[in-house]
Amino acid sequence: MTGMDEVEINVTVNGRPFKRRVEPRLLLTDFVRHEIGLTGTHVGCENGVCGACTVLLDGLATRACCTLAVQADGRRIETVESLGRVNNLSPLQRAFWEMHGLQCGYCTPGMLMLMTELLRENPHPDRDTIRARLNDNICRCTGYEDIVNSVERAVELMHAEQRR
Amino acid sequence: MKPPVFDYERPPTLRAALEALSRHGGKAKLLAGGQSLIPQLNLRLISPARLIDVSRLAELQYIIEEYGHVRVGALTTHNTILRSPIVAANCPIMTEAYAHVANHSIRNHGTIGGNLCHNDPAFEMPLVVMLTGGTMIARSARSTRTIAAERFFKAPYATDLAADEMLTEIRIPRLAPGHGYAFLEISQRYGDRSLIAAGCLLTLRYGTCRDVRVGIRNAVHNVFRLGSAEAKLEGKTLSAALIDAAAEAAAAELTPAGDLHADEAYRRDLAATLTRRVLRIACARAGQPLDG
Repeated sequence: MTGMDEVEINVTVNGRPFKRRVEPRLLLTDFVRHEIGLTGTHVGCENGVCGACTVLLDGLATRACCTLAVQADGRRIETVESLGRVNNLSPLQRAFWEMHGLQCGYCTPGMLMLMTELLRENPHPDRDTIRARLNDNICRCTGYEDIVNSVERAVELMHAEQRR
Repeated sequence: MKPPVFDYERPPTLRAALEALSRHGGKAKLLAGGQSLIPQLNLRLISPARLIDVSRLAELQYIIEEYGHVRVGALTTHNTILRSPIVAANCPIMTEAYAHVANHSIRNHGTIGGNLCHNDPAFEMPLVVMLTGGTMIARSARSTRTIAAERFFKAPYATDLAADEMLTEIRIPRLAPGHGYAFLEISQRYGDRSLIAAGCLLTLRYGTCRDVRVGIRNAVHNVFRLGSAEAKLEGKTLSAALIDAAAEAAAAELTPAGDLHADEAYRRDLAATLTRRVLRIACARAGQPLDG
């Protein structure tokens, strides 16, 4: 065995099915970036500390750098590209933009996906709940307060949108 | 960094996984949640020839209450256990300790079996299993055996498992209603590796301490109970002075441990403080709060 034998995987990325042959050692971060071409998922520490690479795997917040692409076989991956577009931001993205929830933006895709999971399971999180969940990910420039404010604003925007 | 090259297989059943393990033994690693294994691969700390992916074996994902025990399948994720009403009702110290285990995203995938087998000296669950008198069920293609917690945790990052054995279940004796329990931890930031973690279990009968179990993780050495602190309390009438004496005994008994993050004196100080706090909380929960 050379160890280089590729494995066929079938995944759904942002609703679209993909079939690819991958090396077992390929990380999910590199799979979505280089095989699928979605570079919104950022690579930070590559050992599970920072959370910049957070995606949703079958709906669960997941550190893509601590996940092998082969482990995603048969599963549903959601990346930041599933949220909105530059001219049509999702409420969560709009809230980060309005409330200055980012400066350099490197951690932002991870923050957005982490909060997407939270807001699905709890559409009315209080400030402490938001802060506790943000504990997962590291931001080195905004200082977190603006990120917490952004998520609170996102809750308002989402409910305003529902009422319309 | 990226993981080194390895072969990969995902056996469809436990039996097939055990057969693969017996074929490849010491050259293979089991992949459960991967939340410690994959960072180790990324950092090139290990380079197994093969990964045997057991993470999808549904037959090892369960929480059952049976014959006075809580039986937890080794591949049950941390968040599943953290949210389990069965665990909260029968083994609340485990639920309390789980609040300190890594963070939510990691708990989504990390498993109790992977955690115990990794036996990182900063991990909480080995201490919980030790305090509760838990037992591990280990299986191989040839046999099944039961291993008591004291025998299972051999050394930091080492367990009693043979190369062809897999931890399949953790059995925790159901704790009596009304028992006192507490688990606390100090880390530099919430969710970070612990500097010191402390846990205790006890019962109070007419003001007398019984079945006292106190343990510490110091992030450097193997998991252990603190016999001298337990002896200060066992069979004695509870008082604030007694708890202080137990806390001092805990600090004195603590195996010296110092590293970049906390020197030996600071760790001893934390051990005394946390021992005092867990004992006070446990006594209050057992129905006898102490003043002051």
